[in-house]
Amino acid sequence: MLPATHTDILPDHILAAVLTLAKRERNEKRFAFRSYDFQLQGIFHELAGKYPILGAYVFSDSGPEPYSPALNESVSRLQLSGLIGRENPNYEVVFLNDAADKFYDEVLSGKFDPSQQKQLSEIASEFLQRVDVV
Amino acid sequence: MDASPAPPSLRDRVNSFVEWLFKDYKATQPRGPKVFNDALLGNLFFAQHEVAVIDCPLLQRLRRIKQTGLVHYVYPSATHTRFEHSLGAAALSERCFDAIRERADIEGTVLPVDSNRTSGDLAHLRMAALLHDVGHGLCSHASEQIYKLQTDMREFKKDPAFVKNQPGEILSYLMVNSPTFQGWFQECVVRGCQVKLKLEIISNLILGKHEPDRFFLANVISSAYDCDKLDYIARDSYYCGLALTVDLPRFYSMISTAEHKGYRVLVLRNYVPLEQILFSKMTLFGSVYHHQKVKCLDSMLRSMILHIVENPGQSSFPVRGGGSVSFADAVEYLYATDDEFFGQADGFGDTYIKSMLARFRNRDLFVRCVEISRRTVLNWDDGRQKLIDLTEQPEQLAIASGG
Repeated sequence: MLPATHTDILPDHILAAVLTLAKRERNEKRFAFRSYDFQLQGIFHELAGKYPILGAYVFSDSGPEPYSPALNESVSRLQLSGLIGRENPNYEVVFLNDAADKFYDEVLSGKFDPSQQKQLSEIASEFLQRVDVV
Repeated sequence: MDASPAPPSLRDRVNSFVEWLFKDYKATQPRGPKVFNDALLGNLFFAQHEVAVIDCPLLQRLRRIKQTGLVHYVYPSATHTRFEHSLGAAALSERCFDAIRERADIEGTVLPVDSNRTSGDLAHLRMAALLHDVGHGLCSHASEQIYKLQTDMREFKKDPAFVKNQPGEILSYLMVNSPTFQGWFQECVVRGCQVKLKLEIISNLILGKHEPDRFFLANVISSAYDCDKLDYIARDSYYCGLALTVDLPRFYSMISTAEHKGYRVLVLRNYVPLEQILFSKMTLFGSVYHHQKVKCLDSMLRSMILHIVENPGQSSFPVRGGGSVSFADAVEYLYATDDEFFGQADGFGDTYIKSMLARFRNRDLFVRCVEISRRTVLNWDDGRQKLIDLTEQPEQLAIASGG
């Protein structure tokens, strides 16, 4: 795990922060939402045009669906690290593990300046409006 | 290759490379079509203009680059090359094309595709499949893992037009679009063989791009179940001696097209062939590409390359016709093919490279490879030293500082 003083912000950090802040806004013990990967790509593509902090996710301009390899990798890495999970059998439901909260408090909260924090909170709110929370 | 005050762009360097590749090439007009006997797919038919391209330095260079990099040190039969894979991909692209058309006929769907072999969509599709891998360099993906981290390629990939493409695809695209290749193609292929082919369409297909109404053709070249995968899964497993099956006739009977957000895309009507592809890929990754000894081999190559990068004056790789490269950027990996790189017993005058090449020659390989992400180590230099201190034979330890 990276130390709290580490200043490099990686795309994984942004996704982890957005999902954790969304959970906190919901203020429920369990936070899970329905979203296949391509739907998540669509949501972040839409939000990337509005929030500069999402510039870390560059989206391809070809094909019918927006696609950012960096976002795809971030989802995989958060899943591999156990911060998020997907429910059997069809993996449509994505849920946040308790480790995500801990990661946010111990590592992520120190990485973002106030203006970035504000953006992340707004992104989290808009994200909640676009997904079906279960 | 030489240092200059304003470094040329990636595109300029690719142009210089293709110019270098074609320098002494005297094109001869093929007498007609040819049939290639492929060990895996049988007789493959190529039209006259395709033979011209197959004979040109862009494709012939692939004969000297092994399809699976250093895997042949583990699976001795895996000595097949990117060249035969490219021929196979071209043949399979046509089989996909035919299957899609047949399905459309059965369903009564009108597809705006032209199956003319010298000017239509089929001609462009086959040519794109033939050229899709020309951007591969030394040891194929083994070197791609190194140069994808280099600044020039990382910067290039920030462009939305290229963000979803692999570095090798980007280099293929740039090579096909280079003025030297375009000039040769116009003269020897378009005029010489009387065909109507547009390199712009071909290069875009390599990147997985095409007109929305025929987008499925781009999917045939680059997607989750493209002709590249169909060929490499069958070919790599065949040459490694692994009994993997992708039921290709069943696959062809299951591919179709559908309208999605204004694009006509390739779809698979049944999940079973897709499952076969995914399972085969998984097995290949576990048993071949990520085999622990293959990882050791990749680390040995990486250690040599980084030594050259860090000591350019002392260990530059000499290229044909004078000059040398020090693998400082993505294009420099194109100058070296497997045969040329590993055939230099003197290690281009560098002791470390010489000793490592001898280790490859004698199959005196690293015993184990441990990969630690740099991002997870607080102090890289301390961590590196601790690793060196831990080993009983520090001289046997090569640490490559990647990403």
